[in-house]
Amino acid sequence: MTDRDAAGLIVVVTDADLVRQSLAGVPDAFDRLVDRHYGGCLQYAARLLGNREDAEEACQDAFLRAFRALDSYAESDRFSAWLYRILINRCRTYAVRRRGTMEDATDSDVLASLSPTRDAEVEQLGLREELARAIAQLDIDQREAFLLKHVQDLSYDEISVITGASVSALKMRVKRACDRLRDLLTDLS
Amino acid sequence: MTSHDSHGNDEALDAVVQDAVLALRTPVAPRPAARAALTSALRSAAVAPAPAPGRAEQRSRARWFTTPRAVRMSPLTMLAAASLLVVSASVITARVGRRAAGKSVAVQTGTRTPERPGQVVRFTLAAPAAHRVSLVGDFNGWDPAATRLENKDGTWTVVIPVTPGRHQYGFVIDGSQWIADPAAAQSADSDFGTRNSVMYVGG
Amino acid sequence: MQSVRVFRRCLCRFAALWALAAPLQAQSSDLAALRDRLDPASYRALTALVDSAQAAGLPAGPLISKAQEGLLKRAAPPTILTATRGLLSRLRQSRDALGNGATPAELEAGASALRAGAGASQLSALRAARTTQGVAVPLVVLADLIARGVPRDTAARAVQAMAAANATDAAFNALRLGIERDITGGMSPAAAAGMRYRALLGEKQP
Repeated sequence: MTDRDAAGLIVVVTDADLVRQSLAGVPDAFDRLVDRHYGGCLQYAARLLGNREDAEEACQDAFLRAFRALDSYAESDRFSAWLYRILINRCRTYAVRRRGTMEDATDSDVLASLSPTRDAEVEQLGLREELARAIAQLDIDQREAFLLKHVQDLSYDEISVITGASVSALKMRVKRACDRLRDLLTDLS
Repeated sequence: MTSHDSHGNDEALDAVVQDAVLALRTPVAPRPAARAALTSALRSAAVAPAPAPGRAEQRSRARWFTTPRAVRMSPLTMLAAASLLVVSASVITARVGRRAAGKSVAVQTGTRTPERPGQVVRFTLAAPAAHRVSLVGDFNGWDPAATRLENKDGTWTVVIPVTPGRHQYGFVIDGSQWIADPAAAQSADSDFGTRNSVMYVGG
Repeated sequence: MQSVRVFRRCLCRFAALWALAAPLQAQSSDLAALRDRLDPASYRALTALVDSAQAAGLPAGPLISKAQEGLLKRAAPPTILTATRGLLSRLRQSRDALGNGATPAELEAGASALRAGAGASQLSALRAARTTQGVAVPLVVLADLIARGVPRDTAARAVQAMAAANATDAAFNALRLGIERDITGGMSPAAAAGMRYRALLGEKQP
């Protein structure tokens, strides 16, 4: 969050500052916002969609929409929450397009990024694909809530603001997602 | 691993789901090509806003720095901005006539964002015997080498942008003497035996 | 089993740190710039405080700023560390009161409200009353009112009533400015606070 100005001083630049600068026409201000949030957005999109190409497209769409709608951003909102709202809508669009082919998605890039949790090589490969398939089998609502809660590490309140769903509904979705994942991942037969 | 929900209750994740979460949390490395494509798409959107979403066409890079920007304002915003400029001008006029040991005048310049205009602040200190006056505060790392004031007939002045919010600051005279702003409306205890001046930027 | 749990915990922490890498780099160079200005033990202690903050997901910038201020004012290193530790503690309390979703600006504003004398329960109440908007501005106003001499409970009541009535940030700032003018004009802080917030809420004056 800190910058250095020409004299090497610490200047705190918030997301809201960058939005303001971008709206005022400061070059590269929006690029800096993208730098801050692209990684997180890509991770979320890639885990949700199981496909790097779609994830990159969804992220590009989301950032372009955010850029065009920037003057509708209210600073009482957290920029990341506002951005995520746009992103999850984009991801849903792509997820719907891909429905029916999700279970077959074996994007090697995305799979390769899943870290190994066991030492045995065979088990590593098996687990990665198993995990991607298991995530893909969750309902979009559950997948979304599960990733926002446990991978993006947002609070239920934050997720509620982003998705518009109630906290109790979100907790139910996350619980169901965990139960389903457990069932899918322990069924090794 | 447990996670805390908004009410502070722990949700215990079993081992299988924990493993899955750990694996899922590993970052997905952005591809430089995709990142560059996004940058390019943003440049294009800035020059010629297009309503169609989806993959942007690959165009040659726009002249970002020299392209003039249209500032879009609703009539209400224009009225508000004009009012702000009129108010600011009268504030400056009113304060110029005042003689005081020191004064800080906030010069507000509005941008197109009605809620939180960007703030440029003028700091002034009357210190005719000083050789060097610096502005220090939580916005410049409390560094006396950072923001030097300029002297004109014993009155020292500097104008800098300050982000909206609450800030603590003061002046350093000749590299060794700390002085709070005599004209600041509020001061705060600083934990270090001195009092800091407090200003609010951004309304 | 124990080692597997430890391993998992390490993986989790690694992944969390990975996500924080970019802003941490900027702050670590700011911190490194203080190395020459503090004795080694004090610098280590300061670094440990910054690390604690970062590990807890709290903003470290204010801690570094506090140390820079202390160095400027030639405070003794133990005093600097005490002040920095105090700020870290208030940031933690602020987060406990405001919840994990609090922004750095909210946490800092909460810490300054606590420093001014507000209670943690007052921070929580404000968060509960203002669920869809940030609480940074109301907290700054709360800290300001208490610092000006408005009794703590009166200030908290005023700010809470405004939040419950969905007052905008601009209205909160108008409250602060109005009370400032009234106090400068000779009114008692408590009376000024009471009059102003009722006026802003459109209530009839007693």
